[in-house]
Amino acid sequence: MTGANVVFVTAFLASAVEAIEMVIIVVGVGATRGYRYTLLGALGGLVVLAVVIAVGGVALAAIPIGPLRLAVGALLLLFGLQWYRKGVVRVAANGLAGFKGEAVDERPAGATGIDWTAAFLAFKGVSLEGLEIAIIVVTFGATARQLGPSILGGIAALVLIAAIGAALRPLVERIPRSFLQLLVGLLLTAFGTFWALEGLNVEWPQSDFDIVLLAIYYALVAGIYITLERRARQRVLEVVRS
Amino acid sequence: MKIVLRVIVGIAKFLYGYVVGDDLLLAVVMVVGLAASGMLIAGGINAWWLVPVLAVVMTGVNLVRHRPRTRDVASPVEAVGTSAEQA
Repeated sequence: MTGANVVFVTAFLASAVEAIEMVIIVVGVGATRGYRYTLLGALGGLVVLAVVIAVGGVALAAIPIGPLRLAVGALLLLFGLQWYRKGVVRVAANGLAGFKGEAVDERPAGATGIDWTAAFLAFKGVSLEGLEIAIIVVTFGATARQLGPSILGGIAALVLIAAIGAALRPLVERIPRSFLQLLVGLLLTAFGTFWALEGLNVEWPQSDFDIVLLAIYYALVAGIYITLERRARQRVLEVVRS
Repeated sequence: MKIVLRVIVGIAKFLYGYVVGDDLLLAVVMVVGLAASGMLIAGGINAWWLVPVLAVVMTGVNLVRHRPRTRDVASPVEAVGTSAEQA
């Protein structure tokens, strides 16, 4: 492989990891809250990103990503925990049946207009992950003096993963809404935990794979909480009926 | 001036709902947990475990606090619906 090819493949693979995280957030939030404002938020994130790249250029490599990861991670963690808990309660109360259909609307009754939550979540996911991709691309490209192949690698990863996300959209929309809220909640919580602590310079034992382990951990705990909630609900029902 | 104030109040309300939601205790404990993790990491302890543990403990505390109680519900239908509605 030539040097340019090596840089392309390296930038592609490294960017693909970040792009997967970005697309999971956009598809998950879109399926749960509706795609209109989620995609607007994602578009806003891309616009901000484009401006930052245009202004920063190669100097992007000097951006301290740690504080940004901490801020975005902490916000995702706190919001993700809300959906995580609500998902547990809803799945415990209603199970998985009969919840296909409209997106879960968390806004107060009668509220209309922009869904800021969906837009904000997508904006943050796209701008942070996009910035990480830009930094990867610039760092690899500038170090190897192959900025062109590096940029192409990053763009190719982003386009491919976004296309896969779009193709998977109908599949995600078939997931019952209560369960989807729990799933997105636990994914946001896992990403938030990972990014916030990474922003604090923690060394994850398995590196990026710890995102998967965190998601499994939160999923297992959710399963336990759903069982406990169902039992508690059953006890109340028995007392009320007697 | 009035419009600016309304926008600021609107943003503040949105951020409060987004970050804190309906459980101030959970949000405060998680922020304190992150701060404690930061201090432990700065002190040389790789405290990646603290926040995940706090997250599930505080979720459990929240679930117990919002669980429907027999004295609060009058009918089986209400018993089933109560905490799902709270969610």
